[in-house]
Amino acid sequence: MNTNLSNIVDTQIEELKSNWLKEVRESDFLKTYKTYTDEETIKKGEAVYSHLSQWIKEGATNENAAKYFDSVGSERFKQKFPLTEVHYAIYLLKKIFWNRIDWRDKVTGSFETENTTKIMNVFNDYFDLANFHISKGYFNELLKSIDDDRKFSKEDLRSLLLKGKLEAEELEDDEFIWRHV
Amino acid sequence: MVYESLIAIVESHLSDLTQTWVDEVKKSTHLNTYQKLSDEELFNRGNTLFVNIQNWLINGASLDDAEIFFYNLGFKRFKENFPLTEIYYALHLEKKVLWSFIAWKDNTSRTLEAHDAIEFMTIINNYFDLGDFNLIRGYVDELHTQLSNSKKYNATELENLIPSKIKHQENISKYLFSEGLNIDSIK
Repeated sequence: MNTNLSNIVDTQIEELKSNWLKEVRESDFLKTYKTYTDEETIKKGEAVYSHLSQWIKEGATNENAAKYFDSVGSERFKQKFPLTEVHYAIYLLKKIFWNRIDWRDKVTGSFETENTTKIMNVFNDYFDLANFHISKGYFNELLKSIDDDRKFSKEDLRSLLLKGKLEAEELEDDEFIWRHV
Repeated sequence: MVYESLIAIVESHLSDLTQTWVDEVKKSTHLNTYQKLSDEELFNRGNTLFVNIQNWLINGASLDDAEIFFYNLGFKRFKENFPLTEIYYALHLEKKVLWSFIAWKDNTSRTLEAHDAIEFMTIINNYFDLGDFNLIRGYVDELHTQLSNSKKYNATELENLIPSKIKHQENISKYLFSEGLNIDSIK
């Protein structure tokens, strides 16, 4: 079942990349992405898909995805992307991928609810993890930047922005389990 | 048909869904701020989330209603000093609770067809994508306002810190909603 999703990346990466580039170029909202060349833009989208394939092959662990998307969030902050723009980009990547999923069971070739549900769970986990960790990475970098500016005392900053578990060291990956309840 | 079923599920199990969400919040090691709330307050907040999805479905899945609801939620939670990741995770739990309930119900009845499952998930995903997006928008806008009010940053510094383009992206919601994940492309 999981290979169903990684196969899409492995066999249809060119279509995924070209659809992504087309969406970026046609979008009214991806202004920061549009400042990048085609090659750079493709690379950004391709990385998310390649990581999805790799993530599935390595057992779809939270740890791998967390580390990767934290760094994406942090990097996008440094590149001055608005957080909503990054989220919208992830949404587009998700939409493009969704349209390529073959929901049929690999063995029977039929539509089976259990199989469909499993595919959806893996698909959702990946993109939910992506959004969560991008936000975390982005915000951690934002807080670091405010902290570095030294315009606020530590106490002021804390009262302005209760960092809570935004602090990476406080968020234990093992605890953060994306699961069915 | 799936819309009606989803409304019926939320309507008839509102209390169960809310209680499951509350239990999950209390169990979580990530929701420290939520755990400081009284049981009653926590239940009310969870209930509000499920009532909102119910109303959203009943009222024809109006974009404006969901947009305003989540924008205000992000704004309010910032004021309450919730970390963004906590509110994001709490919302994620709502999605999990709802979807798990639908899947569990099917395990007992075996009536959910694969196409219906995809349609259920499409609606749920579109709602939560819209929610996540506007939640962040409300939260970050309020952060921007607070930093601006602090007078510690001039306009240029603030622009560098939080790109103001974020302020002009309200219309993205309309695209998120109108384009949505497509249920007609089932292979």
